[in-house]
Amino acid sequence: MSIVLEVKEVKKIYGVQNGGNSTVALDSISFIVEKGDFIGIMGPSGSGKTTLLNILSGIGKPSYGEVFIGGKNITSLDKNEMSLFRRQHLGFVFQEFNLMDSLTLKENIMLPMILDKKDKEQMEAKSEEIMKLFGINEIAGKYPYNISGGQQQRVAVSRALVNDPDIIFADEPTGNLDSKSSSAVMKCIARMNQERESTILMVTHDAFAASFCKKIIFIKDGAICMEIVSSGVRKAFFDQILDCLAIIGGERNDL
Amino acid sequence: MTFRDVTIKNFKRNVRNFSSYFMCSAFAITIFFLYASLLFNNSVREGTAEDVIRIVLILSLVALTLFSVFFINYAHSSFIKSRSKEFAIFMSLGMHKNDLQKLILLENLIISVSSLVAGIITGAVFSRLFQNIAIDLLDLKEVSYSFSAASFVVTAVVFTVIFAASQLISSVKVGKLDIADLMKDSRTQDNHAKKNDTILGLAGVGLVVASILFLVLISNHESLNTNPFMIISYILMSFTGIYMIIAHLGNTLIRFLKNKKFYYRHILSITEINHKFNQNKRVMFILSILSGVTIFLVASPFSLLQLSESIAERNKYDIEYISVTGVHTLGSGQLEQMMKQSGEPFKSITETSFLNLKMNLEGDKYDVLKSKPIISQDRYNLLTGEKVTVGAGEALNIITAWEPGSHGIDPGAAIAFTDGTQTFDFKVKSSYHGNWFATASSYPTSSGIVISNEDYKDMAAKIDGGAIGTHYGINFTDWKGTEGIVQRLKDALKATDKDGSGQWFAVSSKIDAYKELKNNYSLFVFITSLVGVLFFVAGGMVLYFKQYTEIGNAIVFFRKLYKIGISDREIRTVVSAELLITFFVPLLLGSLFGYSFIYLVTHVMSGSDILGEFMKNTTIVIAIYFLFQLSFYIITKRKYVQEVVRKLTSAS
Repeated sequence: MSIVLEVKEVKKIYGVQNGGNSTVALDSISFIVEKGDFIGIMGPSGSGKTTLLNILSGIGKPSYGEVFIGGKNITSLDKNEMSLFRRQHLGFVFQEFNLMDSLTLKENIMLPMILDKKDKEQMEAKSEEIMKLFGINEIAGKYPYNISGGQQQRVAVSRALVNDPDIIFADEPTGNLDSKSSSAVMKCIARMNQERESTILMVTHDAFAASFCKKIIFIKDGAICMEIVSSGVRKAFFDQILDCLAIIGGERNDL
Repeated sequence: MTFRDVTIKNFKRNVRNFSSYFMCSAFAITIFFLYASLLFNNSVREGTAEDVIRIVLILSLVALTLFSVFFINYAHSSFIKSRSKEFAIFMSLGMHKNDLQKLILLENLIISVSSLVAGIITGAVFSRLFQNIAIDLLDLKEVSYSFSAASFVVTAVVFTVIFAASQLISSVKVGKLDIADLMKDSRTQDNHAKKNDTILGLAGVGLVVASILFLVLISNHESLNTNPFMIISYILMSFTGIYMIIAHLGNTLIRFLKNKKFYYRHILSITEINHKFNQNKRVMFILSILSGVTIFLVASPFSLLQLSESIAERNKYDIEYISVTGVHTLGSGQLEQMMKQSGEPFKSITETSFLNLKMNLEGDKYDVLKSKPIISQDRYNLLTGEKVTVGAGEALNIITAWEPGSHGIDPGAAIAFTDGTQTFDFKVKSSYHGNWFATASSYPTSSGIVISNEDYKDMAAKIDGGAIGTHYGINFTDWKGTEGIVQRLKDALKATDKDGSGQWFAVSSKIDAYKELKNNYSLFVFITSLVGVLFFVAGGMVLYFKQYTEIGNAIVFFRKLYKIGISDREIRTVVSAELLITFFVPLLLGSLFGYSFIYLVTHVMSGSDILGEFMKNTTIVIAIYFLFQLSFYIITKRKYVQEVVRKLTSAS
């Protein structure tokens, strides 16, 4: 299996320039993600999950350390190179969906390809295929504010997939959804991982959503404190996750 | 903590929103006050007592009031909208709607009173400055600066009413508010290109074209072009058409473009622009009207000023005067010497003799002396380049007064000329407005007479020598520097005038004609250009405010894209396209209004021969307007992009 993402000794310290009161948000985190992996990152609030995801996706920069995606050191890219890299090699699913209200669902899905000035036929074919996969081809002409949150998130997942990214980053994808919609969206993501062998890295609070992953990395106070791997049975993995959360500290309430 | 404390704390928190609302209101008030102080300026009032300017002034007052109503209302509602989330929180915590209304009322009261005071003070300071500069620049002798209580009262009353109305509207709106709606904030919007849109957009274009045809039709009918009903119908037609274009043509175009390659390539710009159009159709519309009125108000006085030069150049000679018995008897040698000594590059003196005889008809108000200048057919043809033929016993009456009609000398009538001892009878062959060898103002008459060469020779031989007059036409290389020599000539001629009859035969010159026209137009020019500038500023203010309130939305929009991956350059492209449209579409539509109004006005002034000049000047004004707008656009674009990019990066 080839390595898609490699995180090397990433450290993030806030407030260095002010002197004195600096906070270590991430402390020497290293791990690798291989092609076809579906990895969850969990941890209590303030543990550095979002900071880590921002660094991995190139929105933030680490204070020390390096991040390689598909063999490319993204920490050395400048802002515009990073923008280009993001839309060509990365896919995103956000908690707040981040769909453009002025575009139809289909146009939203095509957006990364549109930004990349792809061919019209290619875009049509690709978006058609993905929308069918997730059962949203019938609402393709609607606008984001006319559909439910669950549907919006499925559109966002489709968008993340459309440019065949090296890796998809999901930031609390079920955070704004009820349990039924959460389940539908997570099934989509899991299917994407199984059928299309997409590599996924998901940050979540939600043990239920996390139970769809193949592997979970727990972080606490900016450092990796535990890793668990699914045996393939979701129920068992869910219980295992709850246990781990209990160990790393008072997170059972987050169910 | 009391309710009042909440209000005050709230006020402090929202300073940014408040300050933009305050600035807009104060600015609108300043502009209105500047205008009102002009309207109530004593010398302007006297100078315009019964004039077209009065109508222009009142019309612009109405336009300005409408603008203020719209603009303050717009500022007010976007202010309320920007705080919908905050209201939702208050309401969900159990704040009663009455309390919310009270809160809004209190805030509004603070803003309206303070902006009214600030606006009037700035207005007062600037009106002094503005009027003085304008008066100096335009060299207006009859306009002086004055301050009247009326301008304060009118401004205060108008804006109190506007503020009260906005307050009423928003309190009604707040009364209808629903927490759920507020929580959703302003996301709901309609992007569907409805079927009707396609038709409405095209109908708008059709209506505008129809209104232009209608305009041409009414302009060319003298009975219709001053009919207020027709003018109002035209204005309604074209305004409705323009509004429909703004509101629907975008959707129409997108419908045609959809799924084309071009559409996808520019999808962000296109959808964003269309979205902005749907959101801001009223702003776009008011901007179109503002720029149209600005163009009209600036172009017409500009054209009139230009025109005074070309009207003055219709004089036959740079300087001319008439010498008849006992009047203006300056030896020709003396005249030539004087001209040569003037210092101005002198070209020539043309002397033309004519018969100066009394007539038996009454004539009209111009014929003070009841006499006519008479010349022969050949001389007339030679001097004017016309080709008339006059038979024996016939007299051709060439009318020089500008009013229509035959001025008391009808074709076919019998007319007799006499020098006091001998009488010559003629029959009026024809009577029409035509080319005369001298400028009308040099001889007190409504017309000149052309007779056949034989009759002329016969009469000249028989009459008393004193009845033969001479017309002197003097030309210089450039008439613009002849002011001094004209004055010296007038003085010299006056010295020869013993019985005062010289007053009937004025020295006419291009420079005097030019100065007089300029002076007559100057008040009009002063007022219209001032109002034009006010409208221009008002337009810029609307644009600025619009961008200012929209930056928040733009940042939300681009933040979503930023995470997916959009470069600064692409942000710039989208912003540029959007701003380009907002800045220039209203201007283009406004130019259409400008041209149309000018077209109508030139026809109302029954000067279709000045149309070309007016259109040329309007084009110049529009070009200058575009240049101004372009620099405004470049500055705004740069600042706006900088701000968006800065906020995007700082947030992550």
